[in-house]
Amino acid sequence: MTIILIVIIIVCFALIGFKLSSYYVNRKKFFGSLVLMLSNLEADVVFSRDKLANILKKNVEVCASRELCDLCQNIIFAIENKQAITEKMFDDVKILKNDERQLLYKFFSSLGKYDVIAQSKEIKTYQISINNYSTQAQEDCKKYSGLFIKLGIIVGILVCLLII
Amino acid sequence: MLQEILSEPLANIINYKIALSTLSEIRLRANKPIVVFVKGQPYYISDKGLCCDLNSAMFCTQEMIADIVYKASDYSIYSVNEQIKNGYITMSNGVRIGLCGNVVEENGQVKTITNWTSINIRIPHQIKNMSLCAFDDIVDETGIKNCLIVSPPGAGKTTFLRDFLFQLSEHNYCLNVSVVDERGEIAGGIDSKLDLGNFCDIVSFCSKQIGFMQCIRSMNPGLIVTDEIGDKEDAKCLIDAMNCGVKVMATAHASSIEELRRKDFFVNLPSQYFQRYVFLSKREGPGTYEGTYNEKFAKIVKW
Repeated sequence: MTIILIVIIIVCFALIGFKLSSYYVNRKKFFGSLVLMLSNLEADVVFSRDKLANILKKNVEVCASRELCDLCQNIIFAIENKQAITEKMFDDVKILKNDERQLLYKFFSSLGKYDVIAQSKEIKTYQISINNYSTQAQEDCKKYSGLFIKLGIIVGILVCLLII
Repeated sequence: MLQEILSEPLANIINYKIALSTLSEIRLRANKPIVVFVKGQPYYISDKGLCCDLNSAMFCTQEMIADIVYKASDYSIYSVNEQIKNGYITMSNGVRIGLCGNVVEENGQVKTITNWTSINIRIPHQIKNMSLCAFDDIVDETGIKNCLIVSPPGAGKTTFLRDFLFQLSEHNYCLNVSVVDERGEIAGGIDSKLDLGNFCDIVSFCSKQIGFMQCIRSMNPGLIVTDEIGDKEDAKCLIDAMNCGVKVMATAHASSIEELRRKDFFVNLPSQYFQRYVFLSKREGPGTYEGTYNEKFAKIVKW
């Protein structure tokens, strides 16, 4: 009975640690997918010159981040219904920090408002900032995601020791 | 068809207070009153509908114009920049938006138009049987004749052309027709409800030079239809078509025979290239039929 209790406690704390670490994993996925999306976006704008909604749809199909998929779906919906892109769409992405939200809002609002050359330059400019965010997210993920799981297990063991 | 691009208040007025079938143009100029053309006549619009009083007229802002252009391009200006360079955007439902603003030039070439200050929204119409007045003059037992539809801008040339194609189909005149639709105005886009009958193959948004050759090579046309011929390059396309044994039907801007004779394309065409000229005017509203003329510019009189 005691062993089962110990296992349950450790698993619970490990899950809490995993949940906390998923924030960093999701951020890493989000920015990783966004970097990939920006490259595709630029290529599509320059070469296929397809409509923005179609380009985003293609990218959503291969996007690894659920948060980015949801965000893109909202943007596609707005574009197809001739509605403006609002800041609220970005507020819903909880894994983003305020400055990141602002930057992404500005980026997506500026999409499709220029000719090919200007649009390509605009994407490249934002790519630099987003690449930095992606690098930072990767480092954070490396540092903290494993740490939180390990901490969860250690805390679980400590709690077990205290109970015993 | 307009609520997609217009702001809600403006779309509501146009949808509910103006008969769309009579509306041909909406002109928006930054910081000026909005003007609509109904049955060829200009009016301001107010909350209550059409009006002639400037004090109650609804005014337009530059933001309103930019918003319409973005919406018309599906928020993808880069994808329609080739059209913008030529001064317009054609929507997939056939609505054409003419643009004015800052023209960005480089090495004598237009790169784009930005900071739009005026737009002209032209609404395409299908007026059934409009071309019947001249149909028998253009098509007879010997076949179809090379024909030019002539009128000043906004007098219904394209609408005439559209109905003529529909009538060919209605009269079971089974002819392969290639439509070289440079501005996407004749057929509209994918979502267009304009009916060109059952025998038309449409090449949209390409130059006449490319469109004509593409159609002749690949579509085996009996008739090529195109809009707004103007310069000697266009005349070359028409000659190429003639040399391939293909009949041509086209439109041109002019309000009289004298004006037509002075046109660049006309000077460069062989004499009596066109066997029929249909003249339209706005005398009694857009689409007023003024008569059909033969290759020697003699009016064809019906008994």
